[in-house]
Amino acid sequence: MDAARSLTWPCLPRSIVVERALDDIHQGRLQRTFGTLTAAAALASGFEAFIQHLRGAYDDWLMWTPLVLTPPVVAAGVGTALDARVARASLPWLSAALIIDGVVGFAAHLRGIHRLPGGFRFPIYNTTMGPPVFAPLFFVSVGILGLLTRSMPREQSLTTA
Amino acid sequence: MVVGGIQIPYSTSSIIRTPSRTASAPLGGQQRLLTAVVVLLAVLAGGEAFFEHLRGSFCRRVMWTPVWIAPAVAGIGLASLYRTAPVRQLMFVAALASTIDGLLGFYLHLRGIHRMPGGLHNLQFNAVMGPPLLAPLLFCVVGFLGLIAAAGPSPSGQGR
Repeated sequence: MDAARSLTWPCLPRSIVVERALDDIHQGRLQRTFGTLTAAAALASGFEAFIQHLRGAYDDWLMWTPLVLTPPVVAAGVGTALDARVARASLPWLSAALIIDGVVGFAAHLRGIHRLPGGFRFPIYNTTMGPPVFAPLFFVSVGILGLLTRSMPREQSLTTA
Repeated sequence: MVVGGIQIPYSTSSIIRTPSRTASAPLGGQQRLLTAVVVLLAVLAGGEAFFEHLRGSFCRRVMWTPVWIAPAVAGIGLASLYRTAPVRQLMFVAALASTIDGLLGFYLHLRGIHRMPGGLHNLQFNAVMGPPLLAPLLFCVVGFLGLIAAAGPSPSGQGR
């Protein structure tokens, strides 16, 4: 372990597993990790969408779309951790769909704020009490994570340790 | 490296060493993308936490912590696009703080739901109307990504 590395990760024990994991990070071999992170982030934002849209009584059919998209993305993220083919075959398409859904959701939430009494003339009150303006963009970030995952090499530490 | 059909310069700092660069050189291709995602997620999570906690009137001091941590992670992430030498250690600290804050928030939101009438027995109502249970875990995602960014390849070849 060189000086820069021990400075960045001062508290890690110097075992072979840690060395290999750090090697993977340094060489960008992170497909399994990113697949898992994509699944976790999709699960957290999807569950929030489910609960918060339930609060909004699924007023608009578009409110179902994050709910429909989340389970396949979580499955594809977990699948990526298990099999490289999933990362190439299904994750990019699902991620692209998630990005589009996030942008559509952002526009729909902005419209929801605009429709509140006073609209954008009371931005602080209406942004606070109206639909959460940033929440759909979480799906955009999860989609970007999924697209990043596609072309990453896989870890060696988990396959050959 | 190809992302969504777009060719992005892939960092080969582990194979090709560039000793002419200093320790404060900007980050390479993949690292820049990763850092940009960390910054984006931190801004979104922080903004969301601000507005949702404003709705809750910031009734507890601990509700300010994500509002402090998110700009720190975003600022350090932006700084690491231009300098790496001291910023990597700062990113490590900020990302660790974000992860811990996410776990703390998850526990506090769970306790918030538990404190509502009926507590966890009335979960169907309380999970919907109470504090969002999994929202703080997005700070853990920001933290994990930040830790990976902090441990990533140094363009100077110094960090291997």
